[in-house]
Amino acid sequence: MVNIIINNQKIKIEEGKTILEAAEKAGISIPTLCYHKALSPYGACRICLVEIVGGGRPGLVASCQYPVKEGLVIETDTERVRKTRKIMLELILARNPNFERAKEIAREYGIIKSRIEKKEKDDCILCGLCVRICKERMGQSVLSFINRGYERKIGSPFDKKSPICMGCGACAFICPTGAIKSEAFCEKDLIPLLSEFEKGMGTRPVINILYPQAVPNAPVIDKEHCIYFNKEKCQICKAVCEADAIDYTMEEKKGYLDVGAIIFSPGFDLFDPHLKGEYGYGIYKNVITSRQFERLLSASGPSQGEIIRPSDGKHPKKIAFISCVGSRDIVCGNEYCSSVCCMYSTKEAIIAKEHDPEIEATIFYMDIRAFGKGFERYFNSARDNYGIRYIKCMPSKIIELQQSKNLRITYRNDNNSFVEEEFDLVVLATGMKPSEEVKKLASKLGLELNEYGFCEKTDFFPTQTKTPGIFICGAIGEPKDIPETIVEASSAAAEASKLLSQARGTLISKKEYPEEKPFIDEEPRIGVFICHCGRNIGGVIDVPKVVEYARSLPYVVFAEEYLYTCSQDSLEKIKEEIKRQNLTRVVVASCTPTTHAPLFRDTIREAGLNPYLFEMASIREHCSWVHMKEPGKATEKAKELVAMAVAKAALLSPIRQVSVEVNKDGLIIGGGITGMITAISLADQGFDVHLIEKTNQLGGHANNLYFTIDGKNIQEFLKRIIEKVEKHERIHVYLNAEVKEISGYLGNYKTIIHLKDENKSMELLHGIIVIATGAKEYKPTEYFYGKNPNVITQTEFEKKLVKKDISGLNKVVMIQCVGSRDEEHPYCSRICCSHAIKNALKLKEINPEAQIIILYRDIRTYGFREKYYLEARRKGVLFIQYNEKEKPKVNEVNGKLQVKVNDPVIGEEVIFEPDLLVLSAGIYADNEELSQTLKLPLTEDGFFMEAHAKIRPLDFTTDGIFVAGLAHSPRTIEESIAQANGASIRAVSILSKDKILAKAEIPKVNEKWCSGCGICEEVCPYNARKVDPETKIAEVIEVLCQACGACAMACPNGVSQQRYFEMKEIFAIIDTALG
Amino acid sequence: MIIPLKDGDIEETLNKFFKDILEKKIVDALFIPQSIFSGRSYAYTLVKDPSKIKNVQPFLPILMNNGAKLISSLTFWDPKQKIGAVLRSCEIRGVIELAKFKQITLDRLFLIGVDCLGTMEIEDFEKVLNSKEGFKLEKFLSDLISGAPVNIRKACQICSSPVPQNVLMNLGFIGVDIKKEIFIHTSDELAQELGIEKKSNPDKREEVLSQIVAKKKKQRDQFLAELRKKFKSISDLLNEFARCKRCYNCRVECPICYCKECVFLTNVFEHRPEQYLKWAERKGLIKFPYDTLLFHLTRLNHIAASCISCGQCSSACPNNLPVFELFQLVGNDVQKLFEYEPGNNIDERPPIITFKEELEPL
Repeated sequence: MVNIIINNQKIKIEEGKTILEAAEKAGISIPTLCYHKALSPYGACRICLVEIVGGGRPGLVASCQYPVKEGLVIETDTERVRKTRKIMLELILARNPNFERAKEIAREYGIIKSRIEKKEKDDCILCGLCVRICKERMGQSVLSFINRGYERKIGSPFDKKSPICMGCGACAFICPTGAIKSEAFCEKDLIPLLSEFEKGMGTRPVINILYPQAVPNAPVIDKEHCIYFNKEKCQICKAVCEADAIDYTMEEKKGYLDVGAIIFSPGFDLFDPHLKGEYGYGIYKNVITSRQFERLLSASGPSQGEIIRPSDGKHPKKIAFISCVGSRDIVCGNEYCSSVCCMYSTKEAIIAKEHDPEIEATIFYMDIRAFGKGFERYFNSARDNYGIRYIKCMPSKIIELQQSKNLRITYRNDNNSFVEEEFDLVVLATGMKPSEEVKKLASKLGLELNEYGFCEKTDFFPTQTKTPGIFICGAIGEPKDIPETIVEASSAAAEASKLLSQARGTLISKKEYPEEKPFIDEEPRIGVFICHCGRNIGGVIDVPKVVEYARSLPYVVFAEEYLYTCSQDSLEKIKEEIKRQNLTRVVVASCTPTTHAPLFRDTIREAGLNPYLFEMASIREHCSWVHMKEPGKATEKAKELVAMAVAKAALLSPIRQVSVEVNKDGLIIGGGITGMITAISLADQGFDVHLIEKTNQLGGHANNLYFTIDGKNIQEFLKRIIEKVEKHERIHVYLNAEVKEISGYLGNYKTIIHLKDENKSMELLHGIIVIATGAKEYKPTEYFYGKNPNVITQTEFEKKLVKKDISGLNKVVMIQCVGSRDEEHPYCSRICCSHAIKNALKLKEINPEAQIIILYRDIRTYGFREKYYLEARRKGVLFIQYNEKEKPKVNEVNGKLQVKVNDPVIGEEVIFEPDLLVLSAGIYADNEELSQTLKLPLTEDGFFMEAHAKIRPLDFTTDGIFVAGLAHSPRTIEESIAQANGASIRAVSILSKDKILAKAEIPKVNEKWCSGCGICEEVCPYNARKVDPETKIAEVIEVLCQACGACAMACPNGVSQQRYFEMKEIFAIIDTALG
Repeated sequence: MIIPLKDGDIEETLNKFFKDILEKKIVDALFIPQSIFSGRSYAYTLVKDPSKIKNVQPFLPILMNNGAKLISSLTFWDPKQKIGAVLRSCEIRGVIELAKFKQITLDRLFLIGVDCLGTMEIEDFEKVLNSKEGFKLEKFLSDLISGAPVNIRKACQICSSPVPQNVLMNLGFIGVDIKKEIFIHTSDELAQELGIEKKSNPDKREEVLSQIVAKKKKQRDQFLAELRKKFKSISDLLNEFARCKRCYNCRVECPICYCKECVFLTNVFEHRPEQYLKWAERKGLIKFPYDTLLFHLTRLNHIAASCISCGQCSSACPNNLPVFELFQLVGNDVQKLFEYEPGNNIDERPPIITFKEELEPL
């Protein structure tokens, strides 16, 4: 070790280091343009010059090369140093006046422009980084300096393309000015590495994080392309990684896990559009897949969300989307519907229009399958508000125009004539399929696959495979959208939980903390820990200066800097300092509290401090990252941010989180299939369930249903389920029961029900509620329903079919969308298309001669139901489309029904005189009363509104209440069962706890001054605020509170104040910010 | 409908009318202004005994308090009796607004409104009272109607709601011959119970009313236009409010300021000496009492949307600050922005508890 002095600062450093390295260690920044940590110093730019003023021969030296020796005294910012640097900067800028990094340093020295005129033809500043990296790291020496003096330049031997160049691109990568172009030296064709995640729309480096939200969010080395793994060269990553995290010896590890159940959720692949040659994918540059288009739309995508077409990077104005590419297509072997493409095409078209309103989007489709919750409204809005054009036609080919690379599509229009139209970009909505790899894995697991390669399921249970103990969820079972996938994920978890309920919680180890130090409200002792975050903060902000400033702040008794405050050794140091300095508050100045506050809180708790005696200053996200180009100002801002955090910290007081005990029983409202399956699932997982049914029998709407489209016997299934419910010792059924009153909250509900049979009320105590109240079949008021006995609904027809009460039925007309997709019910009831086809096929089975005509708007046989649509057509069921504005007309002529409809194919009105008219009546919900009792929101269509349409489909924003089945939205029995199971595991996530810990930053109420005005109650989105009607004082239901702060904001006189964000604390921050 | 004056005496007629209301148990108690102590002043009284109705003064042109605030203290907790309350338009608006914030049990109130074309500042009223001619109610009311110069409060000069809404009964003098009769509007059942003859409404009432309202609206627009010129910048505000001595009278008198304790009296605004000195150091000087403009702006922030324009704030201000003016100016804009009319409809939700995704900027 040697001792030196830089700028009056004593530094101890190992022998052999350079002055530059010593200065960096001491946090003194010296500018340089040709130094790179991974390369030998070269002294080319002379910007890093420093002055030796003692302990050696005085004079200017290049700090990157000059080795330290005992007793050296160095100044880095003398007049002489500055003067010389200025001249060097001017010389460099003379070679390349646009060199950003040099301009930035020059600005600090007051140079705006070099006095010397540029003469060189290239932008090279002769720093030699490329020469060094090629030689030292790549071991190739393709590049070297050529000539001397004025003629000096970088080049390959004889200025020819070099046969030894690997095309690694390191020279271009390290070149600070962009002067080096690898292709000038390399014989090989340089092929960029295409990003797998961007689907070839962008490139990626060899070391990369798969995508921005990847879990774990850690970079990996692509061994196949890594120079080190191929040639044992390079290792630059190891040299530059400040955390020393690069480990080339890491190997793939094999491990064994003992498990009681397996959930198989491998996802899906997209159909390969190369197989549809007529669309020219892979040949025509401007034909891309929807997933590629999705990346183009993404702000984190290859074009940062700018829509550009591949052929020329121009903004396309006319975009065509073609649906059903590789779906509903017997020729390519995928006869099923992929369920999601109609909606994602619509979504992509809308987003494209939002990016650029001039875009004209056209969607070519066969049927618009907007069958999900809220989808019909979305589709209507796309068409009516966004002006997206929908054309019912599958184009049979695309032709690329040679000059413009535009694409010409031929299609049939509404008038049945063929038109040609040119588009700038064509997006293929490719369908879903299981990947080959997944199929192999499935066979290893012994799972049966269906005719399309998806996993077979047990009857009625969409997440059970035929192998006990293995469950599936997501698109491996059938193509499906996000909410259904999430529901199935919960359902599969419930299935596994049933098997494993005995073992629940047995592998959890509990962390032990020391006793919390008593909080005495004396003068605070604040410790400030400031992070360099490697170069992230330290590279911009002068951290030592911030530390020095922090030490000067009131109540600060300790301040120090750390390379990574979140590293294990730094955390240990924080704990040590808390003890050594007897700190009573801790401030960490580093990154965002969103990711790191929990870690630091835990650390100070380990040292005996209450975790809320802690505050963070975000000097990375809020400072160094956004002010990268203004290091001086960034340092000043960092100081202020630290001062603000310290000011708040001084006022902090401990927060003790409240917890409530959980009643372990569940309440299920509704005894249909959904309610019963939820009950069984909860009971099988070890919880007692109260199942309330308002009628005198279990089974709900399923009592009227007999068989499914794929031939499963509903009544048999229902009988089995009812029996199980009735026999289960943990399930308590209440028939003819009515909910009178529900009070309480998450973990502690009290419900009063009225039992009509016994004419008495009883009280149930429970921890959660599942709403499974179902929905009703629409009672048509149109088409002579209820007036003519030969007009019935599909459900009634199903009963007739089962009873074989169909004599004399030779001609049957069915009308779809009765009480759906109209003004009064502007949503799709999802199941009626399948219901109609199911009944049609049954009639055909009994009476193959029967003529069946189905009048429809769009046939929505999504997923595998498509097969039956195909079968129906094959068996001669006639499908005639009608549109919303021209509904079929039904008349009674001499007691005989007459149906008139306009057939768009022949363009004329056709008349039928059916023996029976079957109406596909929609589903409607009647949840008004319950929604008011429980203060739960409904959608515009009257169904319960979940917390998040996509990712929290079974929850409410109010914790502890869940929804499943038709109360949520129209759906099939299987889909209801998935929700029922899913709701049960959501409930178990609460019931399995003994206590629920409330959030820490919840409001406190100064009861003395509360006026009981109820503003807090009104603004709380979580039902967590309530004014006690007796005392007229506002309360906080701690466990429901999500600490959003809305009430504290709205409370006029600060009676409700949010802990950790109290007015005093906020004022202190503002005041400090103002200076 | 019309109640003829008994012997041409308006006070006696009103006394008899309200006595009836109490005696006939239309209400269990009556909240009504009466002149007490020799008729030189008046106060709100809560009357249970009909014989104590002696000097009711619903039309006397002074407003010692906005009655809404008193009604709030009377009915914050359910009074469990039906209370008749005789109030002016601005007071009724205050009642409705306070009921939205759970400060009034509206179900127990039987609201009786009276026509009002303006009230006087107490000093001005005293002057008239002490003048040679003394105060003559009939003359005062007819002057108000005819537009003869009467010194009424600023808020009243621009008030375009002389007739209260949301009441079960309305007493008035506009459009009738006040030497002979009083106007009354109520349900047929109540009229019958009180023995009021069913007659058609006086012909001229609507016409006179619309003329007065139009005139007042015009005055209000002028007033707002002048204010806009007056308050242009924060320094205008600082100048105008520099005289504030932080007595909190405006807050005490404001019918909407319902907080049990104002946040400005809590420890949030208790500052330590070093804090004051720090501020003084930062700015060079600070004004004492401190936080005065912040106080008015905070109150503005809380109240602007609900301000029912009674003007009690300015009447209560000892230093003649333009409090009412500021609240008119901002309140008008805020209420327009949120399409909110305070005190108008009990079912209308105040902006602070309403979530709207988008708002059209003004």
